[in-house]
Amino acid sequence: MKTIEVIKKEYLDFSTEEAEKCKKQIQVLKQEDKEDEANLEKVKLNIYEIFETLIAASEKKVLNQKNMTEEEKATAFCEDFFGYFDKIPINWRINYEKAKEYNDVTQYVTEENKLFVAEQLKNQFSCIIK
Amino acid sequence: MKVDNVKLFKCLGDKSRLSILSNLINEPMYVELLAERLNLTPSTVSFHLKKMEEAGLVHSKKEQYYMIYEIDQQLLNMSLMDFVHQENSEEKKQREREEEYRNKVIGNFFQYGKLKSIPVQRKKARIVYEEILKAFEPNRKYTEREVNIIIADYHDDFCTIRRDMISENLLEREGNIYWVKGNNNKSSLQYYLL
Repeated sequence: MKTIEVIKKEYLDFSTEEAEKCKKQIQVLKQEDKEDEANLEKVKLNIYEIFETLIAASEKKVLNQKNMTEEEKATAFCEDFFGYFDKIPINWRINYEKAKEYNDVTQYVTEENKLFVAEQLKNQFSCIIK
Repeated sequence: MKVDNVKLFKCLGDKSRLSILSNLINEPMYVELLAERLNLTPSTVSFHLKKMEEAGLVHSKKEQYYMIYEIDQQLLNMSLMDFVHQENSEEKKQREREEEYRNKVIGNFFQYGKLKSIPVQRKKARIVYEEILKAFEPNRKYTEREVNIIIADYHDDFCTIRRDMISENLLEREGNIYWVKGNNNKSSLQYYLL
């Protein structure tokens, strides 16, 4: 199994690259006078940043465990971080469903973007730890 | 037709929405087709259409399985001048509010054509003086005695009122001669807002 360091690096390489794409897209959209679409990209950027913070939190949790082997730590780290991909978007999904029900398009497009990024990161993380 | 001009123009200040509108001017369309044409996701197109619908620019109707969007022909045929005129109706409302306030002050301070007391508040005093000014003929010269007699019909303290009307630029004087100052068109509230 890969070490925490390797997993984290591979994940952050992907996340940072996607976040950079988002930042560039925000600039392009702003230059094209597409302010609302730029704001939707900002929502996505924010999700990349949230999960970057969370991966650091998962790492910190297991690194403090003295009675674990490196492999156990890596497993615990993966389980902990993977859990966030289910826990964090719960409310986004609820909000999405509610917004859809009430035809609040602005809200459901925002939530849809958040869920899209969370799913994308989850899939990427799954590939990394396979 | 009631249009929120600010909302409308904010809505139009977006390139994607202008592109959507440009497509809808040609023919009514559904979200997926617009998305394909403009290389946007259907969600993004829905997002823009919702904003445009709220601004009154487009309407939607269900046709079989699709929600078809079409432009509001009447709104899009309006000229910029029409929108500016609509804004002027706001000024009209403001004038009505001023007039209402003015009538209230006059009602409170005048009774049977007499001034009950000189208002302490300058804004109200000006309204009262403007009302007294109506007793003066424009383009006519008055002696101080004539001015005093006219004002005394309203209130005994004609000296204070006469002086105040000069300082409020309602009357003008030169020596012993008084006349109504030209261009007293500004209402009291406008005067104090300046």
